[in-house]
Amino acid sequence: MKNGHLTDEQLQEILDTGILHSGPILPMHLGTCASCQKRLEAFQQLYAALATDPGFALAPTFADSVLDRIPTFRPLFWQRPAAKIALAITASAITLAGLLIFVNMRPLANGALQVFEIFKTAFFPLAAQMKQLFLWMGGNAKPFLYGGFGLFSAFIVERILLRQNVRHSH
Amino acid sequence: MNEPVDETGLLVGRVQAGDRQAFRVFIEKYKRLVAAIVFRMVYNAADREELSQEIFLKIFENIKDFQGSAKISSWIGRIASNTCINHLRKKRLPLFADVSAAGQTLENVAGDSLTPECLNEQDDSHRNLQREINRLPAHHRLILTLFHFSEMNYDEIGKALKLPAGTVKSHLFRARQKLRERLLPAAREEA
Repeated sequence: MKNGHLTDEQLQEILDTGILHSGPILPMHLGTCASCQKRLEAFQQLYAALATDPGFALAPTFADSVLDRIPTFRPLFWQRPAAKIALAITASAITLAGLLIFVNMRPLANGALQVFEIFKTAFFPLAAQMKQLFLWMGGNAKPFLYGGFGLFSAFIVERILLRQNVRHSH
Repeated sequence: MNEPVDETGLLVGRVQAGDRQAFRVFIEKYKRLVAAIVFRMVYNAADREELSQEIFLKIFENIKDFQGSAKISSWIGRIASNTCINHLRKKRLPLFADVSAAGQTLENVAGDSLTPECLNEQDDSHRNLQREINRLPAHHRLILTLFHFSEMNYDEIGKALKLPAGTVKSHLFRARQKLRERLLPAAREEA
């Protein structure tokens, strides 16, 4: 308090925080002192002016310019589905090759042959019937088999592409 | 700036998830705030647009780190301030020097700061205020903008600029005092 009046710092503190940390006596003085009220009003005008827009506007296409600079998400090579399938096949082939080379497969192969024989005996009549059917169709079953295989391949490719599109849309 | 918690929170959440359309809305919502900070800190009109874009790119890159404990406008204010300060440092422009004290005229420093359209629209007092603000040191201009335009308090500004709240307060008081004395001759006599 300078000469019984509020200092500029005190007036600004009142406007900044709504309170004066020095205590309630000084704001009471403000209610009765015309000089301090006049200075407070001058600060209030300054505050109002400072809160106004400085008048600088960014271009209307500003948002587009920013978005153009954000790179579109592209999955890394090993994150792509096709790469995952290729990696899975390669890994399986390596594992299989390792098994064939380093593990004695004879007992397992003998067991598998026995199982195959059982199945052959059980399903031979059915296989024979199927063969008869194909013969009856005059060998025309081949296009159906190729068609089914083609449809299945298209389904797999479509699934891979669709998943990529979904990723890109994010 | 009034920030309805739900609406802003949802928007920020969508931007955090990488939604580009949500980020467009976000830019439209906060570009005025960023523009005000950049305008007050950088005088070169060509640099302003570029710098504003850079600020929004940084926001997009770092928004995953925004926890929601602070106001989003304060968080944006912090990124914008730091980007502007780095820009001034890179250009070797003074941060703490009073432009009028350094003997430079306003025309030298802020010749292109206001467009003719702007000047026509603004009245004399507003123009005088802009001119006097431009003469303040950069850190005073920044603190004034963050307090009065971004509505950040002493603590928030202090955290953004890595300054104690007391220092922010004294910078604010000094900046306003200078403006008041320069704009009102009577105040200068009082001082």
